[in-house]
Amino acid sequence: MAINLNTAMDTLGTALAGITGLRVYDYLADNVAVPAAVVGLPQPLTYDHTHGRGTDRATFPVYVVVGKVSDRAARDALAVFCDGTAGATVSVKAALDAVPGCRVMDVDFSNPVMSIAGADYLAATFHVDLVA
Amino acid sequence: MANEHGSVSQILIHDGSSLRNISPYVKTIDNNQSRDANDTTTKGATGKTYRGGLTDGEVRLTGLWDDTASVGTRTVFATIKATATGGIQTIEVGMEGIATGDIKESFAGVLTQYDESSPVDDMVAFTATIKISGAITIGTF
Repeated sequence: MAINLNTAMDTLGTALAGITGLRVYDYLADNVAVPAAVVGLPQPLTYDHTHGRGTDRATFPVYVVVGKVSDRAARDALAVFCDGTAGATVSVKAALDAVPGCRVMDVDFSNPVMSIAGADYLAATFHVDLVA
Repeated sequence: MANEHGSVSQILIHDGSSLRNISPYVKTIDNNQSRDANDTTTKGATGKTYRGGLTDGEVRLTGLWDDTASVGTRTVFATIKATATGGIQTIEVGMEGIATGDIKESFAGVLTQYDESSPVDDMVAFTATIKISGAITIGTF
């Protein structure tokens, strides 16, 4: 146990790859093809959640971005991935909650427009709690 | 001599078959020990006097509920709870770790309390209280 950063981000990426139509980057990509999920670096990764280097705890940001084709269409596209009641092939929460020790705590829209490689996208930031 | 960070402490509990290191699932280890002070005060004394009597103590653990085979906290404590008396033949506590030469306190005990909690926004957790039975042996790992 204890979190290996590479393994953890790969694992989150693998879980997200099960979502239909979502392109997944398990690293901070310089350029993306939308709709995309980008697994960010943990904020923070806290060591020693239990004794004996048993487990660590980390909060991973997962950024989901969709194209701003039109305001309403972009909102509708993003909302699908944010649906907390849908299954693991649709919902970011369902897909990541299925990972052992993992829970999507919330989704944040405080930075609704994310610029990647000079293009603006409508964005949601999921905060993922991982204990492993 | 040196102080130690709490993250290095470990605890092993005998489940009736083997000594199990449950430390990877434990967040706090409280090792509380006491001794009776039997009153020996007699007339004419200006201050109370005592003589040390029997020792007593308990170990309280908190941590993550885990059903990993053999060594998970739920697994180990379920095995102990299923016994007729809840007795534990050996508990070993290493406050500075369990490397060769590290200080070891070992004793028998009785599981007197085991609680599980499941907050909606955090990990399923457990707490356990083990009453120390008999003398504590201090040695090294």
